[in-house]
Amino acid sequence: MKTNRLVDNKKIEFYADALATALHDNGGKDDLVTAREQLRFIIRYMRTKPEFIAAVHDDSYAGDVKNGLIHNVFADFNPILLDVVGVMAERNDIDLISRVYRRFDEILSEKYDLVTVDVQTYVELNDDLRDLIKNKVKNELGKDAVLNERINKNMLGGIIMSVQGKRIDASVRAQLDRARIVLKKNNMEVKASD
Amino acid sequence: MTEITASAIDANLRAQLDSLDTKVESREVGTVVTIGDGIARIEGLKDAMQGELLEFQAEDGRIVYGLAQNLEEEEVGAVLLGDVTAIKENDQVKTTGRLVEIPVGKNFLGRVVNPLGEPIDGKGPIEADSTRPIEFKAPGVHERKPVHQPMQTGILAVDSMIPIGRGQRELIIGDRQTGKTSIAIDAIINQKGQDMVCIYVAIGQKASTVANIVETLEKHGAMDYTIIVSATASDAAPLQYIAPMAGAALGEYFMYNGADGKPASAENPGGHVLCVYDDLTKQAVAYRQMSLTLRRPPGREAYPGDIFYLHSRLLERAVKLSDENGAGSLTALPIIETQAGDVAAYIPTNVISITDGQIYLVTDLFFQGQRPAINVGISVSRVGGDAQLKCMKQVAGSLRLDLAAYRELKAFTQFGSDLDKATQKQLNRGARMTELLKQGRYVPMDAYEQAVAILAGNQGFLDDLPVEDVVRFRTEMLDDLRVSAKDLFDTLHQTNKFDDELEGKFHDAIARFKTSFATTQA
Repeated sequence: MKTNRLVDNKKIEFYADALATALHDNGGKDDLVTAREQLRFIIRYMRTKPEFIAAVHDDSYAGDVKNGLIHNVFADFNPILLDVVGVMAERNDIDLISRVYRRFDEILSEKYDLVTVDVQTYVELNDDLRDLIKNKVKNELGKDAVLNERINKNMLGGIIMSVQGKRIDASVRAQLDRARIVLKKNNMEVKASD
Repeated sequence: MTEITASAIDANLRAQLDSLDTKVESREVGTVVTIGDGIARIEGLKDAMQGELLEFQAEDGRIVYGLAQNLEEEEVGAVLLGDVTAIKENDQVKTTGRLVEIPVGKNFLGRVVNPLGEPIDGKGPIEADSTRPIEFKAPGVHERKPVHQPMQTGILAVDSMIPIGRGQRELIIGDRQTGKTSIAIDAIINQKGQDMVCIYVAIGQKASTVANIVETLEKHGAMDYTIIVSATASDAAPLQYIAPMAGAALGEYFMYNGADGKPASAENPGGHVLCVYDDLTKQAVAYRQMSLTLRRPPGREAYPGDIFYLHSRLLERAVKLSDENGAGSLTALPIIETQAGDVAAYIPTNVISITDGQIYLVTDLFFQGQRPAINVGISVSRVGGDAQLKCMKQVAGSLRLDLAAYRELKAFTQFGSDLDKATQKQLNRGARMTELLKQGRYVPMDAYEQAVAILAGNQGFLDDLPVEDVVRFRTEMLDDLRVSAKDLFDTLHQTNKFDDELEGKFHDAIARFKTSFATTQA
């Protein structure tokens, strides 16, 4: 059933806050970081599995069946996270999951001074680089950084960091792209002035 | 010519390298939530702008561009402009801070490109002079001046009764297979040597049809000054949607710049451009498809609410610029296909109300052999009269009304009553003048010759000819006068009008020719 957005906002706040508080009380910052990644995985999984979404939305299944489905599919995940997501499915609020994730991320930053930085590199990061990035984030944002590392062979070199919805692209590929655009533009200007 | 030396090359390279920005860019990044039918819904792009170019990064590193369309509270709806299959759910999307642009320049002349400006004719890459945004704000009132120069189509029926001026928007409307495209192609062919750049935008047509048009234009030497923008029926709806705007952007390059490629001004006149959008009905259908998949609320005939704005902002880009702005012009010939002659449908009424007149083609006339099958009664040019040649205005000023009166009378006389002599004469003249307006495809007529042909009709030279001989008489007469009355044509070119003396001389020349003309019944 469609509700107005104020009700949605309240629900989102409630789910995100309950999840963050329970995770922190149970396992501290480590659990918060792990659950964040697991929640992100669930969202990405749901986007690519329309049959799963259809099952969670199916009115012919009772709420507890939907809750059970979540627990079974993601059995290895943090039980607190599964409880919260399960309740969302049970109450037909699963469509709010992306927004709950975003709010959860904000709560990590606001209440627990935790910022997750997604880092893409061509080769694996070493400890010196990890410390460098963490210190940089600490200086810029005043928060502790948790690095989420990924190897990306398409970027040719350099580094891409995503933090709080912003992407800082210092990859060799992006630099070459920018150089191509600038040189092409310069070439056109030179031609026009001849 | 600039001397090329090692130091010059070195200096140039250094200057170019200095201009390279080595700063790291920070951009907002979002994630594709759903994708299908060329439409992506993206989460996390809170600062995206309407119409902004978005960069989608596929898992395999491929980059596909898209256009931000729907800005909602939590999501952005975007249309993809490239390989739709490369992008999947969860792929990352970056804002670029730029609007969609296409490369433009003189090297595009003679080429066939897609709506992104990429060549599709197999003749290799095109070196662009510049880029232009596909969406561009139309010039304001003070940047324009009234339409006053003629844009001759070479079609007797059009140039005499529905004259088009440079900078005008004249709609070509009619059912399928009534000769809409032919009028546009004839108009393009007639621009040879007229200092006019032509852009033909094919939207939602078969690729084979576009290939035929290219061949026709090449055959008549018209590709040298023409650019074809093609978004065929097999292209995605977003490409069909941007195609007319891409055509306008290509045309604007020539209009806003002088022959030297520098911005047009009073000292550096801008170029003249003819843009044919064939056809806007298909663009509207593509936009409807996009809008429905973007979940915009449907309106009349399921078109979105801003379909009028889509066409009005495109056609407002047709302009006759003021002298201070280089006096260039962009003439638009949009084409609309009607269903069973229904001009009161949504898109036809919209475009009729936007344009400065319409050429209405009807199936009945087409199959009666009246080609071009123009219904003179409801075809009109609202501003072209000011741009018509004076000599043409003199001879064809009342032609439309005369033919309308003829048609009315003809319908009335079908009841079979006896006719008086005056009515008989009017019917005779009407039948021959209607016949005179028949014209084959790809045989444009010179404007002054058109005027002389109508003069012959007005002076009664056709009245005693069998109707089926009228077109042959016109052709042979003009062939004869081109040689025997060359001095008269020269005078007409200079004075641009018929005075009593010139009219008398033409009368004598036509009378002389008529004595040698053999009718088929003779």
